Amino acid sequence: MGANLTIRAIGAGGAGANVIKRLAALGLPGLELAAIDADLSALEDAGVENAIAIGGSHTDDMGTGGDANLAKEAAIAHYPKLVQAVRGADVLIIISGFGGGTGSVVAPILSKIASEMKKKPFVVSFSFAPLGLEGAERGTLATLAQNYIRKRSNLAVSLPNDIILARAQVPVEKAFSIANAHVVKSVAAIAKMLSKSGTVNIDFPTLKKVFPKTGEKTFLAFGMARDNSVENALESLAASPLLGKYQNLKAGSLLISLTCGSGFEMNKMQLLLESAAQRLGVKGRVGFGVVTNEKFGDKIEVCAMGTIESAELPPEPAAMPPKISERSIAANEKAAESAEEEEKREEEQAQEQSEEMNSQLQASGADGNVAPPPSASDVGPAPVPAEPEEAPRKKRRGFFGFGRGKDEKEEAAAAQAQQAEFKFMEMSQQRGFFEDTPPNLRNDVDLDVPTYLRKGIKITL
Amino acid sequence: MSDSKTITALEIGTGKMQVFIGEVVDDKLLNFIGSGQAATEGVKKADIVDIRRAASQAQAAIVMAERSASAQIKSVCLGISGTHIKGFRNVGSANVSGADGVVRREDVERAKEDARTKSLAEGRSYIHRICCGYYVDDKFCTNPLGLSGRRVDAEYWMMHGDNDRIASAIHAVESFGIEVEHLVFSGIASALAVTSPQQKIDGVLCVDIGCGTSDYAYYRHGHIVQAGVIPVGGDHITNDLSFGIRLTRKNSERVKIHCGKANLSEDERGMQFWSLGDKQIGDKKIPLDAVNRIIRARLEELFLLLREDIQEYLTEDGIKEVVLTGGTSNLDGICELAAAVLERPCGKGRFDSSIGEKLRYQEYATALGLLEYARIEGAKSSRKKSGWLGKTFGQLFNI
Repeated sequence: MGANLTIRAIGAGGAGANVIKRLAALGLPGLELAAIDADLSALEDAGVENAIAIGGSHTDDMGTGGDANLAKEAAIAHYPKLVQAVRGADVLIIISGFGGGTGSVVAPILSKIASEMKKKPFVVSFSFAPLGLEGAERGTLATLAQNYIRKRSNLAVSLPNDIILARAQVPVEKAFSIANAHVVKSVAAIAKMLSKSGTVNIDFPTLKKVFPKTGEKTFLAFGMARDNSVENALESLAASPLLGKYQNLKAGSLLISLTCGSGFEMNKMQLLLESAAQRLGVKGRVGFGVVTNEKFGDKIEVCAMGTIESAELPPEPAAMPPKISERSIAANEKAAESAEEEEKREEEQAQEQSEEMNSQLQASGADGNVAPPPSASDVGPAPVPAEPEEAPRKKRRGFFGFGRGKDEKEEAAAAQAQQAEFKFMEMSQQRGFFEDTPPNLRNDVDLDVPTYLRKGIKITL
Repeated sequence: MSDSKTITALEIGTGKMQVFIGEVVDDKLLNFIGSGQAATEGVKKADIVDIRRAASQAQAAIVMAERSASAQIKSVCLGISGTHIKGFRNVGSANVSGADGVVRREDVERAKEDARTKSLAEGRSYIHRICCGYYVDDKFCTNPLGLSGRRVDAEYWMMHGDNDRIASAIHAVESFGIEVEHLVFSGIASALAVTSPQQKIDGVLCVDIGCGTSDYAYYRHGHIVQAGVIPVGGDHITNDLSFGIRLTRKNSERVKIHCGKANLSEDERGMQFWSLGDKQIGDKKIPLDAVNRIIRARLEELFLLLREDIQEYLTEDGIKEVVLTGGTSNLDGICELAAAVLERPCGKGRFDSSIGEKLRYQEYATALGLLEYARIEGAKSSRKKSGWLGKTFGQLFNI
C-alpha cells in the first residue's frame, strides 16, 4: 500500500509556499510537493517544480496585498488548476497562513474540492493563525477560514502564532520561522510514517481508522530531545505550540511516530510510548511507528496525533485585539523568508546592538568618567497617551470568500467565541522569557509564571 | 610615604556587566579611577546559563575599564547572586575555659570554629560565613572578650551556593586570565554602598531589586544578621507585562520604564496610552490601570516573599527601616508599596556624600559596594601582612 500511496503537500499563499520550500530542501521520498500563490516571484523564489500561479491578470502576477476578494476572483479563475492539484492524492496535506489574501481563500477551496471528490483523500490541514497584534479583522478572516477547513479535514492543526510569540518572547519575524519549523517537522513525520521507510510503520488504513471522519476535534504535537532522553522528549511534546491551546488534554485515539538514531534502546522506546499514551489518557486506539535514522545519533523526534476525547478550555476568553484600519502585507512577506535566514539575521542584529552599546559606553567612559546607567530614553520613546474620547476606528468589512449569508454570520459568531481558546495554554507553560530556565519554585509555586495569572487577577485591555 | 594600590569590582548582573576601578590610598582613601560596562548576555535570573557569552561580555567590560583607568586589572572582587544561593543560621558553642570565668580569645575562637565547621550537602560550597554576634550565657553582645560567663555562643549566618554555578561565575572571569580575589554576595555589597553605619546599628533591611533577582541583607548592631535571595526581579515584571498586555519583550520593557508604577492615583487610573505610538499594525491602546495591576501583583508578591523570609525580625527591636536599591527600585511608588507590605518606613538607597554625583545611581550600588568591600578586605589583609603572613586562600569564601 505504502508504495502506491500518493502523499501530496500543497502550500497555499506565501506562508504555505515557504513551508513547501523548506520541505523540498529535506528531499523526503514519497512526498509530492506543490505550491499555489498569486505572487509569481514568490513562487519562483520558493523553487518548487509544481508551482501554480493564480495571480495572472487579476494581480499582474503580484501578491493580493492581503485582499481576500481579489484572491477569491483569482482562485475561481484558476479553479481547474486547483482541482488538478488535488486530484489523485491519497493523503492531501494543505499548508497555509490565514489572515492574509491567498492563503485564507485557496486553502479552504482546496479542502472543498477534496471533500467533493469521488475518492476522497485523507485531508490534513496545517494553518498559521495571524498574530493577535495584526488586528481583529485578520483574526476574524482567519477563524472563518479555519472553521471552514476544519469541517473538511480529517486532521486539522492550527498553529496560533500568538502562543509562540508569548512563549518565546521573540520578534514577529522569528515567530513565523518557529511556526514554519514546527509544521515542516510535523509534515515530514507524517510522510515518513506513511511512506513505509521506517522500522515499524503505520499504514494508511490505520491512519484512516484513527481519523475516520472530517470535522472532528483533533490534535498534533511534535517534540524532540537529545541524549536519547525520553523525559525531555515528553516534556518537549507536552510543550509543543501545536498543542498549546488545550489544557489537560485526553485523547480519544492516538498515533505516535518516533524517529530516532540506531542506538535508541528498546526499553526507552517502550517507556516513551507508554508514558505518552498515559499522559494523554488515551481511551481508544493507539498506533505507533518507528523510523531509525543513522544521522540522528542520540537525537529523538516524537510526533503524536489523535482525536480529542476531552480537553479543558481556558477559564475566560481573552480580550480581542483592537481594530486597526491600516493593513500591511509585510507580515506575510516576512513569513516567506526562511527560518535560517531569520535566525542568522537576528543573531547579527543582537551582536550589532551589543557592539553599538559597547562603543557608546566606551566613548563616554574612555576618559575615566563613568557612563550613566541606561536611562528611560535608552529603551525607546515613551508611549503616546491615547485620548479617551477618540472616535472608534472604522471597521473594514471582513471577508471570507463563500458568500455571507445567515450561516456565515453564525459561523463568524461561533468563530469569535472559539478564537478565545487559542489565547491560553497550561499555566505551568506560561514562562515566556524564562522558558529555557529551570522552574523557579517557592512554596510549590513557579515564580516565573506571571503573578497575575497565578492569582487570577483579571487584566482588561 | 603614602601607599596606593588598585582594586577592581566586577558585577556580572542579569542586566549589565559593570566594572569599577578604584585606587586605595593608605587602605583608607578610595579614589574612583575608571569604569567599564557591557550589556549582559548568557545570564538569566542572575545565573550564568551561557558561560561563553557571559565571559566574552565580562571581558569587554573589563577591557573598557582598563582603557578608561589606564591600568591593568589583575584581580577582581566579584559579585555573585542567583537563585541557587541559600542561607541558614548556625550557632557554635564553647565553655569558658578560664577558672575566673572571663571569656578569652581562645574560647571565642573555639565557639566560632564550632559554628563555622558545619558540613554542607554534596555539591554546595560556602560563599560567606558571617558572624552575626555572640551570646555569653544567652545574653547577646557584639564583643564577648572580657565578659564573665560559663558559656560563649557564636551566631553565624551561613550562605552557600551550588558548586557548579559558583565555578561558572569564577570561570567566566578567570578564563581571560584575571584572578577572582573576593567572591561577594551582591546583596551584601549593595548594602555596603547605600546604608550608613548608624542605620546598620539601628537595624536596616537593604533590598537590591535587580533584573534577575532581589538580594537582601539585614543589618543589626552593625553586623549582618541575615542575607538572601528572592528569585524575582525586574525581568519578571517585564515578562508579566509581555503576557498581560501582549507586547514583545522589548516593548514591554519600554512600557515598564516609561509607564510602570507600583501605585496609581485616581486620575491616572482612567488613562490610556498607545503601545507603539505609530498607529500602525500592532499598535493598540493600553490602559495604565492594566499595567499597574500586573506590576503591583508582582511587586506585592515579591515583598510578601521577603516578609516571609525576615518575619522574625519584624519586631520592635528588629528592622527599623527598609532601603531599596538596584535598577528596579527606580519604579514609581515602589517604596510606598514596600512600606505598606513590610510595615516599615521605606526609602531609596542614599549614597555617602563622598561618592561623586556621577556614580549616585541605584544601578551602581552593587559595584560600588564591591569596591568598598575590596577596600575593607585589603585593609584587613594589610594588617595581617604587617604580622608575617599574607592573605590566605580561605579569605575567598569567608568574611
